[in-house]
Amino acid sequence: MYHYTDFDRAFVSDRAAMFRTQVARRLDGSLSEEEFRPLRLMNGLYLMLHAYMLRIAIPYGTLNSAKMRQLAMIADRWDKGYGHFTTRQNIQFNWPKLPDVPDILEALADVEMHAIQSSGNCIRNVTADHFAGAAADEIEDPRPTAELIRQWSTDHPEFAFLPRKFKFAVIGSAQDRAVSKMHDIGIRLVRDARGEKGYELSIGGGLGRTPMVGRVLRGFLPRGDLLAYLEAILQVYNVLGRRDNKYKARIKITVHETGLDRLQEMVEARFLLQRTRFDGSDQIVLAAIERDFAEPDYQRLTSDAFDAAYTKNGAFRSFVDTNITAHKQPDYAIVTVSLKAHGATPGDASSDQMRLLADLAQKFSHDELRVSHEQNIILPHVPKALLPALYAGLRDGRLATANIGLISDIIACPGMDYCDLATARAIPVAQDIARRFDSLKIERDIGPIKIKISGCINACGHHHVAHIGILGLEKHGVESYQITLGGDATETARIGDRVGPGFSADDILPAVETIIYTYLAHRLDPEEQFIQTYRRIGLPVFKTALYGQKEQSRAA
Amino acid sequence: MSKNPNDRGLVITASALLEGDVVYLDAAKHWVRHLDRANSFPDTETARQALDAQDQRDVIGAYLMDTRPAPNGGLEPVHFREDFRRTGPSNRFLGKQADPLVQER
Repeated sequence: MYHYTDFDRAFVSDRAAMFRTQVARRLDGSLSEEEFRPLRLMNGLYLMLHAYMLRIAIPYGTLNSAKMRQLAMIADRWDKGYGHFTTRQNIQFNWPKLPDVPDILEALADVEMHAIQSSGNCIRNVTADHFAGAAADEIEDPRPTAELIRQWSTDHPEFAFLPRKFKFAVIGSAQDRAVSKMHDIGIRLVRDARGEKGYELSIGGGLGRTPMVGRVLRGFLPRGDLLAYLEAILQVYNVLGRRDNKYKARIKITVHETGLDRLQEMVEARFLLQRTRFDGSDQIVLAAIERDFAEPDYQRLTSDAFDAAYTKNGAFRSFVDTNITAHKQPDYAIVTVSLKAHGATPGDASSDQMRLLADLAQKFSHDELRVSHEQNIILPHVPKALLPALYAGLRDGRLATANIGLISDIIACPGMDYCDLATARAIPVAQDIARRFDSLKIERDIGPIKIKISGCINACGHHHVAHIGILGLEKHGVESYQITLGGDATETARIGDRVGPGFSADDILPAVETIIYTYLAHRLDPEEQFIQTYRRIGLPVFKTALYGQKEQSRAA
Repeated sequence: MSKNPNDRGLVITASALLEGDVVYLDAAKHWVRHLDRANSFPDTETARQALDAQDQRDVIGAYLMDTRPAPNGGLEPVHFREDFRRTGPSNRFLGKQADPLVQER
């Protein structure tokens, strides 16, 4: 894991100290809210419905036990005993008081964390595959590249006032677990015909009111050219980006309006110039970062304990079957810990749960944790032999819910329960769906499915790329929920199809149930997953099931 | 400006500078934490004048919200967003709903 250099430490501490003076000046009236607002947003401090909200970056989703314990301490000391992990590998505290925020930032700096650039029209937290460094299918750990981009983009004067916010995701394998195609720039490590490692760059992906799937701008970029190429893209965007209209200011619109070919020409021309300004020192920095991400010192243990527990304990077997992913070391496992116990708020973790996860990571996962964009926690390096002991620890802390990838493993943004921008609630919809299918006892029968819920058109809940996407809107003064089907967040990214008119808060759960029973009735066999059935039979069958039924219930 | 129909009123609301907590303006021109204590203005013009004249140093983003008489007396917000603001999140018992002052009602 990357550790701060003296430069990083001084920079982050200075920023925390600077914010302390800014808060003091706001409190004594020297700064108006208009003057203070951009300063607080630069430090991740938002004003939400009931209180301030502090958004803290978790670069490429990587934490160790010390960081997780500090987050638990912050939750207890300055918040209300919990935090919310978001779809962009951040954590949000929902109740900080303004005078306390400088202390929180200082506490974060103590463990090499910060909230810088978690808001504003700048390059935001760089996300990565949450299985990075552990996945069996990866070419290389994407996190050193993500860290290089974090360092390059932090406080970069040329890119501090972009037309709009700008999001990067980096992956190291063909399988896309980081929704990279829906980012302003998605970076994928690839090999060329000679086996040389380089990057494939996608551009112009994004959700929100105009969802678009990213398109490949450069199929293969030599590794050493990355930062020069990124600067070329951002320079072109800085000039072309629509500063006249907030809703047209993201680079996806620039790509759409300019055309990919023309944009490509402009970027390539700029790149030739920009490349001469790099002398290779960035590659020396990258090499040093890579050393920080050296693989853990793997333990070699016999798997007898695992085999015995798997045979004897049904609950453990269920947990293994859903929450475990293959590790690149055959005698290791990647464990996903669900923050979606049926009826819980997706992504919320109490301070007790954070401390337990920190303890378990230290004991069983080489002191590493990850936060996934799906709002779960990953223990990336667990020896298979220790899985029974880890499971027992999770179970005792009510964290052994075996539902990863199933219908109750739902993404939901904070929605109108917290968010100032929301048009409807998202969390209670997720809670209701999870509880309902748990009570029906058909969750495992339904199999893998992705439900994602947003409480407004900005789509923090990724509804566009869900198998079943739910968008909460306001219609005639009440909450109304629009459904999309067939979206895909992976390497075959696709925007879902809208089924038709929205459903009221009371009707949304029955509507989801109708969709699920329609799938179950039409699937060829239990092996055919929801998304496969949808692709085979298409939207009309579901549409008829939904709206036909609605008419019938009205008549009755 | 004409009166609001159906006995609707307007309340001045904002967020407190220190906590970000929802506040309302009362008849004595103090920022108070609970809607029941807020002053209701009969029309936009009067409310706007009161807002312009009000000291806003301790609050952020003051605006006018629509209210109507609650069935059990007092005021209630017309829009559901304002109902969440005066109550707190629906997934956790936190915010104003967990405030002992509200419990006394």
